Amino acid sequence: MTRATELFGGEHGTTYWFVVHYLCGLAVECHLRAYRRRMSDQFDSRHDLNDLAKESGFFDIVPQEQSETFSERFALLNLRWRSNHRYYSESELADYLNELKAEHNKKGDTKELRCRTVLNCAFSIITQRETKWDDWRKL
Amino acid sequence: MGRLAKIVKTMIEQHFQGATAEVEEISSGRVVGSVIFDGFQNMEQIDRQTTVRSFLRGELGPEIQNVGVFLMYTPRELELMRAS
Repeated sequence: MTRATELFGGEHGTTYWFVVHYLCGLAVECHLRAYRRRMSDQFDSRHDLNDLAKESGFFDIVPQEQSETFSERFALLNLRWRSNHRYYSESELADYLNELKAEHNKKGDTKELRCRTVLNCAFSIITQRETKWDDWRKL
Repeated sequence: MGRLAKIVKTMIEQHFQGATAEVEEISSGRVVGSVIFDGFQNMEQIDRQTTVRSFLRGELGPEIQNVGVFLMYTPRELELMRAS
């Protein structure tokens, strides 16, 4: 996430928007894998965020009052980020997001808006779990 | 499938004509899942959440407390995700 934030906020602007996009999803995948490791020693090679979240017990700890907001952000990231995007060119990723109509009706730089969305989604997910991870480590 | 999961699935599929709901109970006792519905086209994810949760809140009453994470997609979005 740090690298994604640096790339987005750095001198290159949105030049590496597709890298920011990929790193955000990857950060969430790694985070979920870390939690899944607590539940099972067996490595699961699948990259599906929804499956990883369920298997890691991730959905159990989302506070009820945050279910709606959390669902929105998780659903968005899960839709926009797929692990196979690591094989995509910049234009192929743009095509995928265009097909999804991502940010299509919003004013502003589309690349910047798309970066902001995935960054916000990833931060929300990871920050939530960091709190729980800290609690868990104290037990 | 647990009692609440069955209820939620049936309610969603009956109210949102043509929708497919996958609902399961997780260890905390909450139900989580996904809703695939063509009527979500041109709706932001947050509006989809509000629409479905408002409906469920009205139907379930206090049991809405046991409805957790739900992901809402259109059939086209699901198709694109699977192809990607």
